[in-house]
Amino acid sequence: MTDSRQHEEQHENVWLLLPWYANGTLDATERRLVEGHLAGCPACREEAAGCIKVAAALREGEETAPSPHPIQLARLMERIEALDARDALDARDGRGRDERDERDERDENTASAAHAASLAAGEADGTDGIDGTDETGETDQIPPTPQIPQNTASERGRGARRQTGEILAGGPRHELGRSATRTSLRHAGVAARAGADGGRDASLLGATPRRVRIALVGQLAAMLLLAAALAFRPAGQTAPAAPPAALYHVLAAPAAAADAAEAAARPRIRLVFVETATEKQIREVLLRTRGRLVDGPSPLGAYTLEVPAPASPSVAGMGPAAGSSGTDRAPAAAGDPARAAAGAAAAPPPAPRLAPAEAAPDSLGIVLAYLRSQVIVRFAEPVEGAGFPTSSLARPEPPTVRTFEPGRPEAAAGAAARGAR
Amino acid sequence: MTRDDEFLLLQRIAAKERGAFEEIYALYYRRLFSYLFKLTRRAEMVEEVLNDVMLVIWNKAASFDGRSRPSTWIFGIAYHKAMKALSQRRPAEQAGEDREREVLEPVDLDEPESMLARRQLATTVGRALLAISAEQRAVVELTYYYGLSYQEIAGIVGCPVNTVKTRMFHARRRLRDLLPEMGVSSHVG
Repeated sequence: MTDSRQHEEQHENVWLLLPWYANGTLDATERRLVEGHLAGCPACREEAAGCIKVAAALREGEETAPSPHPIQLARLMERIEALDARDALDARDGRGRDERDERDERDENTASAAHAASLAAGEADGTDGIDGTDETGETDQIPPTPQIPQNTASERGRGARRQTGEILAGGPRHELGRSATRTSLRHAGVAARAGADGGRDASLLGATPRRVRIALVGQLAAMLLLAAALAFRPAGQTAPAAPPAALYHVLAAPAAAADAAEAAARPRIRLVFVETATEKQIREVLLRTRGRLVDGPSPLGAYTLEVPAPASPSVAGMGPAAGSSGTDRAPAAAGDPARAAAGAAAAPPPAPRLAPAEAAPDSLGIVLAYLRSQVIVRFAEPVEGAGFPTSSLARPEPPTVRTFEPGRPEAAAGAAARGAR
Repeated sequence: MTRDDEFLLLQRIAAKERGAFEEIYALYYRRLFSYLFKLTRRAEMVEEVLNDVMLVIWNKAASFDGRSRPSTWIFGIAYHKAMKALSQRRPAEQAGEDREREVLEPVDLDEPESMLARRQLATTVGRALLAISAEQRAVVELTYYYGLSYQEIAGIVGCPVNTVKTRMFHARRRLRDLLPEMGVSSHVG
């Protein structure tokens, strides 16, 4: 009778362990126990086989996670900077953690719990689990015979329980802290109501957090300044007789109405700069292309650059890159001095002149090649249907112009793929 | 990148060194992305939770003392963040509806997350995993996909080893019902 009881206990114990027998992570003692039991238990053998099948099927759906886009990291860094700035402010005001928002508290809880939990995982398990699983695929095969003789499971189990005790002890403490904060907030609310009822602004002010007070004072000052500026404005200026001379023009609109038709034919380029590009560098590059930014930035930081009308001399000054894509030049033709001059500027003599039909894609090609040769340009692609035949898009680009930011090949390739769509 | 290298990175992050943080980000992004998707099965949730995990790494790297593997620490954070995010959404949807929701939801084929989702859903087991609780799913994935011992899983999940075994026990029973073809009588793959 006791034999069957023991067998029953062993069966339950082994049954629970089967998944880890299947993935080969049981220690020697447990593995011997399981193997001994399997020999005499068809149900457990069947279950073990099932576990191995499910494990294999799970890994069959092998996926590749996307690579991070640099924009995502940039946004995260912005968030971090904002949080750090806030923390610095809190530290200066002498505020404790109690007054931070709940999110931070949650992070704290999670981190400490996870950390305590990680201690429970034991010292330096020989099995390499999560580390590099994606890259190396080292968990692709289940070792049928596990060989990890280590400290016994019960020891490690105790460790886990001990640590879990700490986690549990940690939980209510934070909970208490939070409810204390809520209570103090309620008190503040009561105080504020009392102040308002009694008409005593001082107590209302006292109930207002100092940061809010500073902000309110700032707002008031700004409003007063604006009011003063409006009040002291000379009467003559309130209704200007004529718009001022064209010191600037609106970026979204063409510079002149006459250019409208021409503008529609101007090629456009979608452009992404590297994050470290300075304003000066960007200005220099844009000035060289004689292009104008007509749109952007998009949420991903892409700008739309409108480049000058075809065969403009402006593309000449772009250095070595200018010669790199001059593959389909038309033979020179006489009787067009302006165009000849443009051609001469664009390439060394004998000057091949750009034929009108090909001018647009070609000059666009030069601008693109120039842009892509710039270190600060992460990515430059023509905008389809803007000022040039779409067929020119199918033409493969010279491989040399695909110079993206060094050290980030994945990101650049991702950006290019995204832009190509 | 060895365990010690990653420990050094975390120490540099504790000293608020941006470069070290960017290294950890690059090192762990894809691993965490795939892990978080496995845990949540919510493509739209992954990115946000991943950022939260990274924020915790930035803020709490000083609390990591090197007694466990850095990956265990980081994946433990990710587990808790994922469960938190799921529990915040859960009131709106019952666990039983998960499966329908995932399948019926239109997918943008160009989105990398959706590609991931489709590949996951392409497997029968992947679909069946939608029908079990997130806690059970985590144990199943950590065991079968990541090949971790139950002690390591207890470390990541932050619960006693017996709880890990019990969760697995219930998950197995559920999966057996959902996947009769996984039994010995018929075969798969």
